[in-house]
Amino acid sequence: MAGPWLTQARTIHRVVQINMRQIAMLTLLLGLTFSILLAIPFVFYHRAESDNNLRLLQSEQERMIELADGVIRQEMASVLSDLRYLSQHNEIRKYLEHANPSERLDLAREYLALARQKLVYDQIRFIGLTGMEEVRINFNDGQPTIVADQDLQDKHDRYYFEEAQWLSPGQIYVSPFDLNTEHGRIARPLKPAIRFAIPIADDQGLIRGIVVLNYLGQRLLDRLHALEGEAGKIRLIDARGYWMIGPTAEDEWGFMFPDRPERSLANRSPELWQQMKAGKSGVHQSEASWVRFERIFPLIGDETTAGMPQFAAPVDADRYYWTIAVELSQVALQASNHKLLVKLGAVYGVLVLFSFVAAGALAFAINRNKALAAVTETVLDNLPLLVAYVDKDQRYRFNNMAYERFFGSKPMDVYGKRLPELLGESAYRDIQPYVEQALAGKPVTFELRLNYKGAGLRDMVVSYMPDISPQGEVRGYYGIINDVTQVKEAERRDRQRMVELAHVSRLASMGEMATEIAHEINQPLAAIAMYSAAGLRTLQGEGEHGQMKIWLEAINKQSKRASEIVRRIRRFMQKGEHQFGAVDMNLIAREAAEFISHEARSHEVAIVLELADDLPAVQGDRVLLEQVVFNLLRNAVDAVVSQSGERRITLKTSFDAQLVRFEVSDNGPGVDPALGEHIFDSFVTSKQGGMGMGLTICRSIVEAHASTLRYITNPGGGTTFMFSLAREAKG
Amino acid sequence: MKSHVATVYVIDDDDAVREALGALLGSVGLNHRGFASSEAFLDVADRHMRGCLLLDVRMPGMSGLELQRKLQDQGIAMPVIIITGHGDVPMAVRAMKAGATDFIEKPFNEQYLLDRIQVCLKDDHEQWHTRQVQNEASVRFGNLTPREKAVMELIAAGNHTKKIAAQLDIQDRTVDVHRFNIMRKVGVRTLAELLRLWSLAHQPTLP
Repeated sequence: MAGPWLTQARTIHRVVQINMRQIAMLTLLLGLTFSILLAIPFVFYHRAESDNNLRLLQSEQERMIELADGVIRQEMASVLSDLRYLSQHNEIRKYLEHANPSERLDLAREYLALARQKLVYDQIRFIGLTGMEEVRINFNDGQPTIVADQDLQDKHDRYYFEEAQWLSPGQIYVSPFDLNTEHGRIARPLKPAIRFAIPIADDQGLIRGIVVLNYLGQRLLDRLHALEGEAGKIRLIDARGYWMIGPTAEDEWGFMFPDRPERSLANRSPELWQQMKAGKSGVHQSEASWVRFERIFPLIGDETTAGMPQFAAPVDADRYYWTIAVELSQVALQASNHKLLVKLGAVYGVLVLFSFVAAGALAFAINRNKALAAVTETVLDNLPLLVAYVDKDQRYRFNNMAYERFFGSKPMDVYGKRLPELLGESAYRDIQPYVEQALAGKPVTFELRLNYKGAGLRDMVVSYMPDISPQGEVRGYYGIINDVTQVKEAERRDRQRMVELAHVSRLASMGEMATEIAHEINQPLAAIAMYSAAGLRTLQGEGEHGQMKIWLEAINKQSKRASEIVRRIRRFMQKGEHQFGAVDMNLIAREAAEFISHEARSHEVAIVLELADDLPAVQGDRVLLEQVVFNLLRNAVDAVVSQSGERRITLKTSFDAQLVRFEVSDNGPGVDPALGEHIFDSFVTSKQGGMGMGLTICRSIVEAHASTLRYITNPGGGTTFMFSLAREAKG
Repeated sequence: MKSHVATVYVIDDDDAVREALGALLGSVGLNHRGFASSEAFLDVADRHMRGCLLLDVRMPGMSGLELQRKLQDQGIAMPVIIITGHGDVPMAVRAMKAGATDFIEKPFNEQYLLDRIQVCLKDDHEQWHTRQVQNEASVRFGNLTPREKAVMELIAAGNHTKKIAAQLDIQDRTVDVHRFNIMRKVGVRTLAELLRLWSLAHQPTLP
């Protein structure tokens, strides 16, 4: 029985009905909730990251400006250093002193060497006071050459000559950053340049000419462009607001081209320009862009050159300034932020996907749990058992409906009550030791007749299973309680009925045996009558009196014999107290054999006793067991008398470690195979005038002793009835 | 031939009943002898025993009825009184049919029992006397020659001399001589006496 039940319990999930619609709805709801909740940190993160990005870009802009400033100063410092050198070196001194062609060639070679080494000068020239070029080196696209005498030009009308010839020694003229012009026209391709000029004095201190360095601006511009990055585009703006590095090539050098004087920052972004004019540095934000700018003074040396002797300093260096700007267009900024957004979006998308999967799993689990709980609750509430959970304070924390019905309380009334409150003091006192055992962590099952406050006297089978936490602490126990009052009542009634039936059957047996009994009693009575008659006759006559004593003794003995028979019959007929106790089956066998001996003798039936020595006592009801043995014996007698030849009945006892076995075998014709097990049914009989109750009662009695009455057909013919009883426990 | 005193043979497996019967019989001066079973009695039984049997009908081993049959087979013809318990009437009837003289139901009136025994003993005595005569007659008839026997059988069948002579194809006189010799050998003087003895000697019921 237990096996299949266990497997059923393990497959309970199969009966659970899962509602896919509910799961889908719940998944949607949970997934959306998760997604929204997840979005909040993402929004914050995105905002923080955007701000961070902007800050990063801003600091990058600052850095770019710093770097650009450094680049410009470096370039300028290098040029100024060259210029100072060119105003002092030996070759120029010798040339100024002698002014012959060989000295001039030496000077030209010196210039050429410098041009070749630096590769940043478009022209290196010495111009005499007349404005005529005396030495000139051309860059010649990276292959500097000395210009031939016939190609030397008169530059006396050029602004740099004009400006420089009036300088005193030690002063340097620096031209604005502009485009090179050749023969009055802007040289193509555009050649941005800055001209540096320094007057040259001879040993007497007289100015003899000027050295002019045409610095190739493209190198500076290239180096500045190289700084550009995510933080924005470099802009270089002159003091009038024209671009030297501008948004497009066309926007640059607007002041050089007569047809595009409007191409200037001042024109394009007046607000920014105003801001640039007002402050040395700043940040300008417009709809289109984000601009950081700083005014720089390229000719004023930084700290590294500050300590050097300023024997030749640029004129008006503090008024020679440019503005470096880094322009980050809003479009670029958004593109940068957009990249972040895409990255975050991808992560968020994956997380949303996961959250929907998780929501699905959760919804499934919730639905399944709900369905399982419904099944569990239905089963628990409809069990014919009382089920409850009691915590360690002995308070009810759960109970099924049967519990409420049993105690006649309202729903939810049991919850929270203490045990004695619900059960009553009497019942509580009886179960208390078991409760304590369960709360000590030991499972316990017991059967008790309990007097409940509400339900009265009931027979209960109770099981407590402790609820132990993973830490080993007893939190309470589960109680499963079965009301077996009706079963017990039925058992008691059955037993009572059996005992009564057994008694009736004994009376009936007596009736059937009346003849035999009468015959048996007649024997001693007849003997008594004859002894006494013999005595009387002897007394009346003259016979010997010597026999008299023997006869009286015999009379006495026979009267005892008669009363013993009567006593035995009365004992058999008694209703008696039916009690379980130690019973000696050997004694029962002997008494039954004795009881039936007369009948057996008269039918020429031999009764053989094969009784085991030292047979242990069994646990049983003596009167009832006697009846079983007697009935079986009488049946056996009835079975054998129908046949001629030897009639033998054997009573046999044997035992092992647990059981005592009792057998009654006869050599009669055997049980009619057509009857089979029906011989145990009521009103089935093979005897004329039999009630058909004998074996039924025998079987009931044996079953009441937790055993079975069986029979087998003997190999040599006849039948053996047998049953085994538990040995009485020692002590 | 061994001579026997008339004795009451008590056969009962119940010692008490058997011994009580013995006491009673002894108190009235009757010879008696007890046996616990039919087999024990059969061991000593012979056809010359005189007296009667008191037989309990129900006994282990050989039953009373069986013993009765055995005794008849062996030609022991003592009267048998069957003792029965209450309710054994069908068995008593069977015993009577099988030749029992009487039956007595337990518990019995001892005077009645003694009376019945006396009757039986008297019967037995008469039977014994008859048997003696019969035996004598048988012995006498046994001495006849075959011719005389043949004549005797014809006489017993009621034939006259002439008819006998015709049947045996002998002279009338020869028949008379044979008759004379027969009567002399048997020791009777009248024809009536001869016929009575013949019928006694040839009673089929007698052993």
